[in-house]
Amino acid sequence: MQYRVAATAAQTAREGVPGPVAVVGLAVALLLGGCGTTAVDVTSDRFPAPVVETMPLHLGVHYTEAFSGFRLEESVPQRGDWAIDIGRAQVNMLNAVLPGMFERVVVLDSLEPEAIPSSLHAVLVPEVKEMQFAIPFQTRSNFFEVWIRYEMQLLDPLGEEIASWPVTAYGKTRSLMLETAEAAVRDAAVNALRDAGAFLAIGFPRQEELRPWLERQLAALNPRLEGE
Amino acid sequence: MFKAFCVPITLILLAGCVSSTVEEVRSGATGVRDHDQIVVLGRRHNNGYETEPDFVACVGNNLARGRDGISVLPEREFVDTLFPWFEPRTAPIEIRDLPNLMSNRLVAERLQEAGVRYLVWLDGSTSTNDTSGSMTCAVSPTGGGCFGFVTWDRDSAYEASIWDLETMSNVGKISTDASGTSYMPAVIVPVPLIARVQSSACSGMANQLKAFLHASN
Repeated sequence: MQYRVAATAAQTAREGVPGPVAVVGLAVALLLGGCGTTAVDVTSDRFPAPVVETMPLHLGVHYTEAFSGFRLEESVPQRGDWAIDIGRAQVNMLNAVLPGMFERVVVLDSLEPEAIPSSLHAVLVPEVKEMQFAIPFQTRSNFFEVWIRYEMQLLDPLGEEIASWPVTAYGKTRSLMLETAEAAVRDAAVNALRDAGAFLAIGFPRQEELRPWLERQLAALNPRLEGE
Repeated sequence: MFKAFCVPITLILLAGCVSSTVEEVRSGATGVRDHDQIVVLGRRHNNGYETEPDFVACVGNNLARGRDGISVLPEREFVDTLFPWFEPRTAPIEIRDLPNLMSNRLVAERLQEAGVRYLVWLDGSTSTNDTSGSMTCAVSPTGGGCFGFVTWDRDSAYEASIWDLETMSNVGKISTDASGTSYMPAVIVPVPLIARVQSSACSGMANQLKAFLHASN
């Protein structure tokens, strides 16, 4: 008997039943959930390498503590406090994407001049400028959504800024009956990180701010191109 | 005694009916060779909705099933293999975007390695409308239960665009609409009688797609 009830519940969830089942489920979840902080730890390391032309450049990347430990803390009226950690996942994303874009990528622990190998062409320092999220209760939709705005700063090996440019990212995931809000926000955040990786991989060579520097570097590596 | 059995059985038989229609528009010849693969992808760039991943998987699974099944590359595997070109923000929206994407040597090579011949874009969603009725549930030290009756309608509307990567053309469109009413009577225990609207749209779409791709003109 218990098995039959469970099977019906699963089927019901797939077909998105509203009303009493949802109400009963929500009531139980609220009773069990209490009023604590909803913690979402995004730790995904399953980001694919991008299918883009590899630039013949050596890049350093420095993850500040603020970046690698980034956590958004926010209070949602009537839905309690939320804490979303995306630091580790966004480092994993960049560690998957950057080696596909550049011939060599070195993770730098520090930006001190002696810590930057002179063989590098540039050093990338990513920063989270802003992050927001929304749950269905706020948007009156079926979606959990995450927005992230990054500022990418590119430095030369001496630490001087070459250029900085924004990277915006958006991810959403559908609200499912048997999925927790934490899992849904986690999926939305992973989708946003994939979006950031896609924007970075495709957009880097097209970025207006970077084009003069990039053309100089590529011309220096291939003098024949300069002659043409 | 007979009535006691007959009424609920009749209710079950009557409840959960789904009506569906499938339409097809062909604009090019098709055909599937042994080594051809197809990919079924969901549109996710719209703000208000996204094609449900489970619907996309359902259509793919149904296409691969049976003696005339077609080799289908899973959506996630394909999107990862071609990252970042088929993300919601970067995927080609119109067929006219395809030549530009295929001019990328690396993308063309990956698609060729995977043996992908057709891309099937699914666009649409299933929504719940017109919920009515009410149900009350109570719990007491001696037990609990629910009493009431709730009914709701669900509508599915999906359209598939079939892109042939060899000819870089849109060879046709298939649309499916399905709707049905579900009921949930409750006398102590709620009994959901679900109209499987999305499943019906899925099987209708997959069967038509299979016939469309196998047909030579």
